[in-house]
Amino acid sequence: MVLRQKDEQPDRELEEELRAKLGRIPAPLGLKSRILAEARARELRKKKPLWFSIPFARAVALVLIVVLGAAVVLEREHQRRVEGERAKEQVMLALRITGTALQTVHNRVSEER
Amino acid sequence: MRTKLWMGLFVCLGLLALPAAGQSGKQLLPPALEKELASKASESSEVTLDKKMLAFASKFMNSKDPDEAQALQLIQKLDYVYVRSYEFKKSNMYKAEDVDRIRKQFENAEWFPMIRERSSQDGESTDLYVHMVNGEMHGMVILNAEAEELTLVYILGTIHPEDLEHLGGNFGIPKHAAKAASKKMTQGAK
Repeated sequence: MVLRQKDEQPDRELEEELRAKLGRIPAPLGLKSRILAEARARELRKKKPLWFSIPFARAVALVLIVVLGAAVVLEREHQRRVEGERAKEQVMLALRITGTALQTVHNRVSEER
Repeated sequence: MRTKLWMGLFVCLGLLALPAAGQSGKQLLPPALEKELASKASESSEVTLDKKMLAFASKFMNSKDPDEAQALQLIQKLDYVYVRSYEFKKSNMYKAEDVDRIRKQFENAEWFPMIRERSSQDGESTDLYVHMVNGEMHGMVILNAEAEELTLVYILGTIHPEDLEHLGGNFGIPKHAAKAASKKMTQGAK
């Protein structure tokens, strides 16, 4: 009877060890949802093109802002030049009319003499 | 308290605007008359330039072009330019009373009537007034009233008779005409 107990001791120990090691350990909280979210994100990354990524969109927005800003500046400069040329033409016209008026004054004064 | 602050602000803004209003010259022809003359004229030219616009225009002048170089030299000393010129297809398209009203604006101590020519035959007239300050010309008015043309030139700013000589040979004006006018002005100033 003693021999049988001695033989059963290592088996029991082994069994308990195996049970402990092979036993089901509950997963940490939220593991399932994290794994599913990561899987979904991977799927989305595969489907979405480069331009949909946030850094790329920011770069495109920045380029657009710079291009629009340059267009506004160029347009304003063009308008300024157009107005400046118009003002110059007005000055030249005024001086031509003044010169003609002076000529008329001279002619009249000469006639009187 | 807030109302007093706003009133004070408006008064200050009004006072700030006064000097600017003085420097801009005046409107010699009432807008209604301008509109009437322009509608009757076969050709009309209306130019009004204050100091700011003259300075702006000067930035676009080409110093290599003889006319523009001369113009640049002239306008740098000017404060205000007001020119109205109307050409009509027939006579009596404007009233003599309107011309008299323009002349009356310069019949005061500030303006010296240098030339006053009247033609009894056709009713045409030419007037030239100058505004003198310390022996220097600071304004000029030319009023030519012809049968089929009415021209009014009103310029404020430092005008040297030699500047007028420079007009001769440029802008299509014979040299002798500008020189004679300049000589007349120099004599009148003395």
